[in-house]
Amino acid sequence: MIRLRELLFRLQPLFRKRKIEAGLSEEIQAHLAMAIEANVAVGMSPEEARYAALREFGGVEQIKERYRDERGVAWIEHLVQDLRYAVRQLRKTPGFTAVVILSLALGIGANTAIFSFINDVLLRKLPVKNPNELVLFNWLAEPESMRQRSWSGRVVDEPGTGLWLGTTFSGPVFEQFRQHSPALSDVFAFVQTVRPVKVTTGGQAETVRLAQVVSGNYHAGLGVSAALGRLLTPADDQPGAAPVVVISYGFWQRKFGGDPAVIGQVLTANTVPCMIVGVTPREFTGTGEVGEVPDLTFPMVKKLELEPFDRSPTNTWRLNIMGRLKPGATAGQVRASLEGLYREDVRQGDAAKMKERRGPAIAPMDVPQLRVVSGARGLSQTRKNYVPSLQIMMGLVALVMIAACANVANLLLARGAARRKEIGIRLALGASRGRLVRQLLTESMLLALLGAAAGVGLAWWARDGLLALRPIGPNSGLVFTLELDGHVLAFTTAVAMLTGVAFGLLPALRATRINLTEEFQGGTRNLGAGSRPALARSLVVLQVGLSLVLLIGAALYVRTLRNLQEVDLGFNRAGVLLFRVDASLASDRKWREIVQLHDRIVERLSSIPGVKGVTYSYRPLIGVFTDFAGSLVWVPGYTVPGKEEMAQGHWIAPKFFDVFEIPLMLGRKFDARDFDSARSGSVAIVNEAFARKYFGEENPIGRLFGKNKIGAAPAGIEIVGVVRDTKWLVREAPRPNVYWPYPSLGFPTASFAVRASGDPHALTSAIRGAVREIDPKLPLYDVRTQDEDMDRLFHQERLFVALSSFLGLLALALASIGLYGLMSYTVHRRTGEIGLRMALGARSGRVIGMIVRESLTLVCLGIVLGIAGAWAASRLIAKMLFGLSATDPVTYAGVALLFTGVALLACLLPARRAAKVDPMVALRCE
Amino acid sequence: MTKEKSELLQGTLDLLILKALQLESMHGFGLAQKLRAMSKDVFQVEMGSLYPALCRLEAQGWIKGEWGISDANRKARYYSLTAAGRKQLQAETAQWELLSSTINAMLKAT
Repeated sequence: MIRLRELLFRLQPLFRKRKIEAGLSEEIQAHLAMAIEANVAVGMSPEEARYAALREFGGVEQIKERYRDERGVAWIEHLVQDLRYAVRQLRKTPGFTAVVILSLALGIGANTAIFSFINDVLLRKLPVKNPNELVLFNWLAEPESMRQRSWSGRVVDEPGTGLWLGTTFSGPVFEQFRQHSPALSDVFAFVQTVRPVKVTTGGQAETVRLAQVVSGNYHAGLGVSAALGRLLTPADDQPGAAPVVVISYGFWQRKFGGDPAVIGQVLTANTVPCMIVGVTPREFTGTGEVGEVPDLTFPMVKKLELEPFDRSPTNTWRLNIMGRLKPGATAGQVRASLEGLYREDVRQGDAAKMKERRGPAIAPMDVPQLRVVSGARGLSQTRKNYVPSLQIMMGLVALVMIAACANVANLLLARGAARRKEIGIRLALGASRGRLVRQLLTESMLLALLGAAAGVGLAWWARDGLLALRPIGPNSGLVFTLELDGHVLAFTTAVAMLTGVAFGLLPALRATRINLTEEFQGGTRNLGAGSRPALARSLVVLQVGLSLVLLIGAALYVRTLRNLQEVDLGFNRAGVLLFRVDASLASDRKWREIVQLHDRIVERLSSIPGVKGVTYSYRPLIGVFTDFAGSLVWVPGYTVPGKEEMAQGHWIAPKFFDVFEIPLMLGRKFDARDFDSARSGSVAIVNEAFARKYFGEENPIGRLFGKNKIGAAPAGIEIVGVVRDTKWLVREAPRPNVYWPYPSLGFPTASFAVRASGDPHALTSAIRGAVREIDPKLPLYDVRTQDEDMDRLFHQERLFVALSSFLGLLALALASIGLYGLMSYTVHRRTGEIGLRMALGARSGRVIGMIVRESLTLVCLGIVLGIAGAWAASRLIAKMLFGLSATDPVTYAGVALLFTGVALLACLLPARRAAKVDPMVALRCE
Repeated sequence: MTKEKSELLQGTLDLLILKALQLESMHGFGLAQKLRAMSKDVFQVEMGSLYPALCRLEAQGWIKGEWGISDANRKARYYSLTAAGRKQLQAETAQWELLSSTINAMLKAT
């Protein structure tokens, strides 16, 4: 233990160096003077006396050095000294320094960027008061039983149990929780609106994809305070309260340009004029799933007014509930006090449901369990879905980091060789090897830290690019912060330190292992190739291997994406423009009028030049916005083997099959009669997969089926046609599809499809104009071509293509630089040998061949290593690939070939230099 | 270095410096002479050890250095024992006595 007083004493030299040095010199001079006097006193001549005193005293400078060691805190002094020295050294070789810092910056920057992602997705807690006190309620239920209940929200499979885990609860359960939870200081609820909200401000309409309704104590319970104005209060959530809205910081910036005068303005949400009362802080992105940032927050009491079309009863399970623990309380206590209440409530609800339902009794349902988990990160069911791809990303950037380290280590080795003389002199003057290693390590640490600083800058700069790749989801509403917070900076610093040691240690040890006698005898440059830089060569092999792994991964992703893009979807996807309208947002039309509106749009758009056909359906055929809406199918005389599977249902308008160019295989298409309300529930067109599954080889035309075996509904739906299979999950084989006529008492939303004769984009403004003519208040949204939609569907694949290609090329570049550097160095070292060979008659072709052969040996070793590595890692990415195996030999061979080509180029320059060696000059040097 | 002059046992220099300073404050040269006299010319005190040792002891707070004027009217740095240094001297002396008597006993035992 070093005491404070002692520490202060020892730290003095750092600040008062000159004074202390002067004192020491004076003290030594006084000592010598006294010694000389004493010697004179015993009879020596002054000359003799001085000489004897000096001899007896010993080396003045050595004593000073030992004194300095004793006087200061040696390591701090050395560190400061080493840092100064390192800075001087690095400034002396700006080229080397720049290359090293750039290599490291790329490696560390890539790591920082990916880690900041992981931080966003997995680690970061809500930026609210004491996030660890927050709890979130979950239920765990039998999936079968949930089919019988009315609920909405996301569920995930609870691993190992076969149960579903959900976060949504009914209104009455929320009230119960609120009243009977002594361990919680606050209980609050939130839920996204069912549909996007149409927002009108100052006469301009736009669609806001993510909005939420919350209980009045939501903001207070979370402990968020307003960036501007005020947030919601329980008073806003009372019946009859004036309608208000709180907007997100992002929305405030985007829509209002951050104008503070926004407070008090009126924003019409769907048809409800709401006063904007406040803006949430920038860092607060809500309690939803990762990336889902609601732009508008309304009090829950306004839900029905806001979305009058959503008539699901209040006992539908749809509210997400969170609470704040009182100090000292635990999640276990909360669960104990509420589970009984909750299960009783569910039991009663189930009983009521069974009474309502006529027909055969259904098995008693399982009552779900209640679970209380940490709410520190808000809703987080989808988080673990990202773990595998994040792991792969992290793996990719880690490989690049290793490659960058190898590169830098190689540069340092070469530099160490160039500095042999300097290091030799320092060793000869008495510097210890440990001291020199420490000094060299300080230099590499400094490089690593500079690289890290540049890397953080790079990551910051690359952030927008990364965000543009939509790493987490294709929907435009997803928002990421990618903040470089404490976690990220700590990570980066740790990486930098680690790399500093990783790339610095070996070269430092190598550089200081010098045989002094040999070094100064001068004749160290031997003619033979005896002392090959084995370490440098293995580093190059490692680099080649790593970049090969990355490039193989990139090639596999590229080919996967191409396979996906070229998959036959069963219809002609080129030249189709898609958009959606939501008539319920525009006015309170009767639903029958909505269908008429849709038909008017079809008619009007069909007259636009360049439009070949227009149709619409309830949901898009395939794409980002297509979800599964299955109905059970019951065919008399057919029992489904295993678990009952649902068929995907599509409600389609006339000409649907014409616009999408889906061929009719058997029977007929829907005709005008089929769209009559009387008949629209009794006819259907199915796809081939459906026909094959339920009717085998028989002709399905005219056959009947029912929607649901439960209850007394007869099998009264007639199959009138069979169409070709289309996919709605690109990676899977087509599944049974049922097409129903779009009902005349239809849906308020429709997904329109326009088949263009030319470029579909060219039609966009004409279509917008036409729809505006029909109803100026009707917003058009999600306008995109079918191709664009598919591309967005492949966002993850594209992300990996972009990321792995970039990193792969980066690694390739690093490896080529490494190889080039090594070969140049080799040629330089062997100039004498090469000169001798040429003097003895070797032709320049042979010399080039020799150098190229040597490089190719290294590259081949690296390729073998890389292929082995890629083979071992293939298991990890196999699931993400499509249409080829993770060990696809063509890909492997192609990449290896490409690599050999690049390597040849990299070694050609040094080889040509070798061929130009003038034997006379080379030998004269020796 | 002459043969009959022996090197100091590692770690004992500090104790001897404290002992030498027990009665009076001294400068470095004086200290070196005093140590030699005390050992009856047996021990050779290396200057390369003496000055770092003085620094070490000063850092520990056992001795204190102050600039003063020598008898020969020369500016010199005088070292004196502090209270903590006196305590340390006692403790180290006791420890040394224990150590040396034990080792002596052990050497005589055979």
